[in-house]
Amino acid sequence: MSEKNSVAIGVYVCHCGTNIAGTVDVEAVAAAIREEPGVVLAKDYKFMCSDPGQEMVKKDIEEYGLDRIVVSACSPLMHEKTFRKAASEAGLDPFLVQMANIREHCSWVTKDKEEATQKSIVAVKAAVNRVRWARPLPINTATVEPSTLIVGAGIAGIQAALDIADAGFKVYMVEKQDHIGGHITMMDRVFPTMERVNDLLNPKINEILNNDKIQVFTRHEATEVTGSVGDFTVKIKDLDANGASVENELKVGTIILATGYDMYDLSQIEQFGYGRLDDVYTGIEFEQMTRQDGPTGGKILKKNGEEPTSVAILHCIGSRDENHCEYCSRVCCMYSLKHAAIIKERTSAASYNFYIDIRAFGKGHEEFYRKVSSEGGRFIRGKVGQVTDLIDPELDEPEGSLIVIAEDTNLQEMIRVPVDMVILAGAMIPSETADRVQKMLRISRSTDRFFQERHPKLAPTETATDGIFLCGTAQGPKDIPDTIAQASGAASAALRLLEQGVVELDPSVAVVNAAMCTGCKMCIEVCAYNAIGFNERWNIAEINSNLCKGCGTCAATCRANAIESQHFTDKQIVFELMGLLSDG
Amino acid sequence: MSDTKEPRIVGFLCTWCSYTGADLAGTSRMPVPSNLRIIRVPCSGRIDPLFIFKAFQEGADGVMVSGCHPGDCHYISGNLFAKRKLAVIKRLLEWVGIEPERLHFTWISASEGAQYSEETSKFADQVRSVADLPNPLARTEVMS
Repeated sequence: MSEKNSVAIGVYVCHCGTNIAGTVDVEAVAAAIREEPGVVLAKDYKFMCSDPGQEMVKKDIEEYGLDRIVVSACSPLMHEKTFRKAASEAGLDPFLVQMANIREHCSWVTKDKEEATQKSIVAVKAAVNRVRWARPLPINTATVEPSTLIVGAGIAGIQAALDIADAGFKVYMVEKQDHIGGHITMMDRVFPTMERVNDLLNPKINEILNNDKIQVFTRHEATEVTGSVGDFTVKIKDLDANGASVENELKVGTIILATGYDMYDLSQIEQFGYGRLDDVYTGIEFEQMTRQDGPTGGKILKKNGEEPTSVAILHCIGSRDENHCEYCSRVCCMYSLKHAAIIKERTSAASYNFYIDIRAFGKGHEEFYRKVSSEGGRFIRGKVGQVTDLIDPELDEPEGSLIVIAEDTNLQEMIRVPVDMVILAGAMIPSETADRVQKMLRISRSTDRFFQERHPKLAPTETATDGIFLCGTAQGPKDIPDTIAQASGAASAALRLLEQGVVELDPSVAVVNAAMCTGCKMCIEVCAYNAIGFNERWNIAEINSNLCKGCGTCAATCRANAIESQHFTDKQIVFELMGLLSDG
Repeated sequence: MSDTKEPRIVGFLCTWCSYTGADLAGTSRMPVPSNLRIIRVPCSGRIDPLFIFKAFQEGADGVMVSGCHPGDCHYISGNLFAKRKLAVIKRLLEWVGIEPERLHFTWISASEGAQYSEETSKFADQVRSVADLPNPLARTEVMS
């Protein structure tokens, strides 16, 4: 064990302001670790991730000849990159840096200060133990294929494609529909400006179609993605090929998911009569009716061809409803106001908005709300319980009308409002393609089933997988400006890789110790990436490090202990474990 | 239970789903037992059965393993291999005198911070119920 004592470890305990120091006695943690073998210094500091914090690490590496660093702070998923970079700037191999998560896993989830301090001490001891056995790992680089695949050609995909093509890189767009533009091609106007969709969208579509950097595959879907950041191989399938299995293969460096949304199936919520009663429409069906190229030429008409004299607009149908979708779909309040404005503009009908809350949080939205309500749109606070065609003869309700039954929560009484037409502002849900795309790309979805971003605040356009980005309603309900902003964000994140042209490959992959391999081939059985081949001549397994993703399943399976999972070696894990239990 | 020592639990979490879910429990300030200590592994498939034995040998009172949900594994199938191995380990542990209550395998996704908080608390209670029973694997002499 001479090696054990030859290391020079610097330990840093972060206060994270009061995020950690409020619950953990950081000085006690540093003091407890200072006498551990191999530890040269242990300091606590207000914000380790700040410039002065990082500078301190760099200076100490030079001054004290530190060859291992432990930073006890937040999650490594948050700042491991930061400290690896700082270490390598001071000449230390980035894999000789270890983090101990004493914030997300300790100070934020523990009330008792003594318990939190104890837990932090063992966590830091474990990190010190682990880093002793860390080895420098050479980082190889690979070139980045100068192209991007965009899945989905709605407004999000279109914006991302234009940004990337304008920067000079090749874009492939795959769209399952026979046209590009997505859901907004079904709409007539946009809130709150009431501009025509065609005026906004057509120039963008023309730009796409006339840009020789952009190749659009309509009626296609991606069926298989292999490889990793910088070097993805994508198979796409022609959906009209009638089983003739015409497949194309594309090489791309990055992937942007813009798979968009679908509307929640409102026939599942029977009490509003959708699919059962005439003149009950979803918001998107009403949008289609208002288009000049729509079924009524843009006129608002009942099924019998007459103009309605009153229209009820029901908010939050399926949204904010624990039986359906718990979340707020964010756009329904505003498009419902838009519908009221269009009804006012094109008919003499009265409009009633039944709402829980009006969420008018965007630029110009509150002003729009005021305008619509001041121009005669009626607003009733209360969620509708039922829409029925059973009129109450005693109440003088007109024959053939739809009765909206709701509780007016301002008056605190049940009301019945007879109308000629009902528009349901239904919930947005992830596109039905999301299931397939998730399985194809192995990326996560949040509890609302939209794709999950790498960090809800700090990395909204990235997925947890390098080189795969997200934008638009694939990530969560949002309106057009937010979609465009996120699409440009995703494009610029993808461009960062495309512009660099090279990407560092994660060296934490598995390697075979040829001298110990018995040739049992168990590792080949468990490898999901076909990364392990077999050398018949020497009767040993061989790992292709370009294909290996570093899951370590082979290492845990090898009965001869001949496979090492680099950076997650048995030694590193077992010594970490012993550190965690060192208070026994 | 005030006079008995709090049991110590080791949790092996895959980085992509469960560790991220545990981080989310943290950012959401949900309670997590303070006697749970975490080791991050790339995939639950990385967990060598020997790590579990080693944990009990070092005096752990319980071991929890959590990976991505079936079908969601970042590495396609590592979680399924983990589940198979752990099923065998559990029986083996029982055979050497370690109660099955001391080992727990679960799936927690990156968005399931609340489930993480719940599962870990439940498991801590479960371990507490058997923690006073002898652990025949534990080394008797205390490491110096």
